[in-house]
Amino acid sequence: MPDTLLEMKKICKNFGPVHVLKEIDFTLFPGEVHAILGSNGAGKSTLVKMISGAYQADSGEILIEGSPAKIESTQMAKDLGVTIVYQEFSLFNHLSVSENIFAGRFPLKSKVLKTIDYDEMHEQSKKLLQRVGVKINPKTLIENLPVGEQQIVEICKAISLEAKILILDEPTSALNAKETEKLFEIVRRLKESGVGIIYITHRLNELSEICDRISVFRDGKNVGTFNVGEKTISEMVDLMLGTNNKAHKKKSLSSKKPQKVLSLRNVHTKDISNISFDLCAGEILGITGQMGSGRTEIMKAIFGYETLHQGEIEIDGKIFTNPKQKTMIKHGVGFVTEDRKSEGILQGRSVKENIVISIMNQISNKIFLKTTLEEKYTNMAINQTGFFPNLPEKEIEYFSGGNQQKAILGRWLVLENLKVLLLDEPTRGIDVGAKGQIYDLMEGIVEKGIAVLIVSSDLEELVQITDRILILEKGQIVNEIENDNLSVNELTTAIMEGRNGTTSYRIEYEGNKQTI
Amino acid sequence: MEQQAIVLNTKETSKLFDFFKKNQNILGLTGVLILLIIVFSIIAPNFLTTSNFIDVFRQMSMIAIIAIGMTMVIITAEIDLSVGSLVAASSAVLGYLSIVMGLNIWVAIVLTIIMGGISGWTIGFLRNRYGIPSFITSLGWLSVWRGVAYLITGGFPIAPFPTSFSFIGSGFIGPIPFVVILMIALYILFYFILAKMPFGRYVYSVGSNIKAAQLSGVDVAKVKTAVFVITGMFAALAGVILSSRLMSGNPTVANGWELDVIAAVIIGGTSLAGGKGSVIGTFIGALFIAILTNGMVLMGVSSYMQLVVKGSIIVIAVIINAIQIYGIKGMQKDIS
Repeated sequence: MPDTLLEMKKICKNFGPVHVLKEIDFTLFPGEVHAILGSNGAGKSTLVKMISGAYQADSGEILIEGSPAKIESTQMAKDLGVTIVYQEFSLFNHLSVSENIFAGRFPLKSKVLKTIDYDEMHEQSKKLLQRVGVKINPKTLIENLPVGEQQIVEICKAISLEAKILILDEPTSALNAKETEKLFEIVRRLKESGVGIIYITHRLNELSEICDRISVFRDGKNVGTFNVGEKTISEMVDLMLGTNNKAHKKKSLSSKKPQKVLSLRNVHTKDISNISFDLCAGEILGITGQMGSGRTEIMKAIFGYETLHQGEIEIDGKIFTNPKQKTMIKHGVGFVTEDRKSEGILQGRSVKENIVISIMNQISNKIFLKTTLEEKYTNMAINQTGFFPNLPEKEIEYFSGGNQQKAILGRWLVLENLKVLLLDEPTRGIDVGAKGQIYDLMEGIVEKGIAVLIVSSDLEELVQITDRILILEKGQIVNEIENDNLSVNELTTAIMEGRNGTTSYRIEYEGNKQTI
Repeated sequence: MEQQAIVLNTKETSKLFDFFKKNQNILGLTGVLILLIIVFSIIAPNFLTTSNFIDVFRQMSMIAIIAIGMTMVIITAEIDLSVGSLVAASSAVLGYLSIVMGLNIWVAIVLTIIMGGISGWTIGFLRNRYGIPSFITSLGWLSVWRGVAYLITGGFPIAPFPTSFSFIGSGFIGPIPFVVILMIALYILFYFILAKMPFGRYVYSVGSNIKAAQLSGVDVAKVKTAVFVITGMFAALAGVILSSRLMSGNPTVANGWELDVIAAVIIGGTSLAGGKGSVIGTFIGALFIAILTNGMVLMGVSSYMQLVVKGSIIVIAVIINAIQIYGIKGMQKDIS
């Protein structure tokens, strides 16, 4: 046994009367990737924040390299060699990539005048980005990067600090398959150099790829630490959720009705070109592809958030060449955006207000809101989505990410004439339990004859719930796959092949399933 | 049975608790206001009389009416600095239309209020069309309207208005001044608009998260324009009321009123960051300023000192608000 890099003994933390962590023991060795699993609220983030100096433990002991450490601030943590990449990015949107990487420790041209050596900074950033294997111009402003690339910048920033202990809080939740693989490469390399990595994730299939040991948290307790491979995924899920919760099972394909509710014909916007497809009532159509391939942009085009340069969109027989949000909502289209915080929730407003904002005409006569109707629809949304606890008057930010997502789904479910629901990464950053609930919910939706279009970079999710999958590359549809017991590996292959494999792949796929 | 009763009981108390929690800003402010009234009742002569209170309400009415519009503007995370100058310009224009041009006074009033609405509309239009911050456009109007007021009057009051016009500013209905009734009616109306009408929800949603609001089908441009138009019209209405009280069109009035209006809104607990606030808070905020001013006048505090006190009170109110949010230690170094 090598000496421990980090050792935590009997850590307790309370927030008021709530015991968030109960006597947690946790160890990390140099060159080890130690995963922490747990549903939302299990205490993972709290533990991690204690190591990074954001919180202090109420009782217990932290040892770093064998000697007791009192981490009272994030700066102290940094000095001790602890770096954290948060799930929610802490980047400066209006600064460039390299400025973000070197924030607070800019290379200086003159020590006296404190002028920044931009050339040096860009050069070093370029090297870092190359090491990660991405082509991002270090001079680009963060706000102009897609979310996935922002995540990579965040990781570059962390590795440039030469950390001894690196904490990755759901690093892959915004990444596609290729970017994830890149991240794993980086993680393996860091591992070899002796860095200890704490890895928080909701994606259980990632564990065997890079992790050495796994700790499962439930209700603020460490319910088990074991080596990778000792337990199956379903055993881990049981540990995480307790035994009476079962992870979601693959649904049987819904019986498709041939009635088309959404058609895109030859749609062009500034980001996508020549997009055509049909979506039938009761169907779940998945869209995937690399980050920046135009997945979100298709949804924005349908929802009237992007100008159509060419082409038309048909909703239930009505043709639109210049859709606007308001008209699309009127015709029964709902849109759950990728970025819950900046485009989804109304901060500071109650859950109820968040739900009914889309249906003001349904809950008011010409002049006044009708409280009874408002309550009826709020309850409907809460019951259908399993929003818990049932506190509609409370402000939305008091609830977990999964609950916030349910409220936003509820916002569209209450739409009387809902026909098409657009979901952009609907389960990003949501724990397994809530994920299953959202999948169940989607099944319920399509049974009512509503069509669902879902963009996701979680391939497991796509093969599990969709009927059909479109693969995008550079703003175009390059492949379409019927989901007939499709496996993640098959789908991954299809995405990797992209354009090159298009026609031949399709024939091969249909004719010769086993070999792929 | 017994268990049920207990459950019901806790539900009731938690409801009451929620009510206090939700309204702790307003309740706190009301508490301070009552304290202020008690203090002034003891030390300021003639403070605790009916006629003085009617006076306080009459004095606050114009600021308070504009503050209704300003509350909505600030809830949408915007600002309007032009209102003070717009009051003066409205007064001057009203005098010009009615006295110099000889228009019927009621026609002149309507035209003046339309002018206020147009002024507000430009702020909203430029905000929506070109993304020009309302701070800039309204700062421009602040200067322009003051200049216009001086230009058309030559710097002197225009008089006299027809005597029937004096009713608006100085008339009574029973024992209560007309302006006070007008003010209270507008507050009740806008309380319902904000709390019980779709438009109110839109106002809050735009201030809370403009993108989310837009993606939920809210016509955010229309909402922003509307709140500026309403504020402009209310500023013009205040100009009309003031002209009626002075019985002249007067370009020098309402200096710095934009600050009093904004102060009333902020003291009333509306957040400059948008998405939060209420007209009830604003009303109490305006009343607070009016009572403070009135009490100090009765006590014989010098007008210079009054400025110092008023300014300090605004900052203290905001500090108290911040303490309620962050606790006495203030914003922590943490990252959340």
